Amino acid sequence: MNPTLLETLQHSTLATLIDGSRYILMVIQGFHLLALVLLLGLVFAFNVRVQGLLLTPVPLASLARSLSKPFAVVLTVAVVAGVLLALPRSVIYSHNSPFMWKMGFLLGGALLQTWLLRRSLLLPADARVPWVLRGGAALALVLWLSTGMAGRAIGFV
Amino acid sequence: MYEFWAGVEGWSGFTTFNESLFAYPAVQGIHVLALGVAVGLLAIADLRLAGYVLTRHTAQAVLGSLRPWFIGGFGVVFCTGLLLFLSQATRFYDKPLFLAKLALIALAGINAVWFEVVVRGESRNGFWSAKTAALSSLGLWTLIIIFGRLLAYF
Repeated sequence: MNPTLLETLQHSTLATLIDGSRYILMVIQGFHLLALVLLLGLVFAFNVRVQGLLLTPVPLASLARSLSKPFAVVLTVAVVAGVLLALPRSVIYSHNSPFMWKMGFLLGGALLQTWLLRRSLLLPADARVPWVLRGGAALALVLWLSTGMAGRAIGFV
Repeated sequence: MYEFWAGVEGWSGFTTFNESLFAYPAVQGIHVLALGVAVGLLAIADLRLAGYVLTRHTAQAVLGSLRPWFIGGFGVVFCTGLLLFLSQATRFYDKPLFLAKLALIALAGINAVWFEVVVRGESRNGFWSAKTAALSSLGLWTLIIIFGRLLAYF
């Protein structure tokens, strides 16, 4: 990415404000972590349901309908909080491998999960879950868990 | 007390674990992910009990299906959490925030037992209802996660 843009972001008023207050940082981290926890719960429940291993009394389309809006809300909160946390470290993070891996996994996971939720809405209640959905859900689960592990590794590199 | 925890922490297995480039971050990563899955699934069950999601399906069906998964998740959280604590026991054992986190975990446990033993079998209304137990669970786990994160600062 353009180093001048990253430096501008890192030295922006917002980044300076966040970096200058331990308490602002703690509040943002709290929101990021709580949203992440809810996100993991939602995607785990949905993707394991696609495999037919939990919530089997609930039709997949019904579950997708119930979880679509909460998924969008918690993903937005996690991403906005994540952007705010990354802002004061823009230049450093652009050279941090786990951070770049996390961004890749996150983008892949978010796009695939959105497709899975939309595709499941069209599934009749008594229909067999197609293999493409099962495979996609397994991959999405791997992508989300990898996002979490890469996120955890950011501070250790 | 300090000598006891220093002795535990000084065990060669924990020293190796602490000094490993990959083991400590990996266990910490598994701890956070398992916490996310367990609390996230529990939150879905709590929100159903409180009547906010999946209301077309019975609370028993949702809870019964999710229970083995979040109990398994909490098992992983407990084992990894214990390993992380014992390997750095002197850093945490007398921290007020850590003790407060343990107290909140105990309260969440009592709340879960209260729900399973007393509330679940009866259709109670008012303060001692399933909704109260579910909202208490959500509140307690939110605080536990926040306190856990704050341990890095205080």
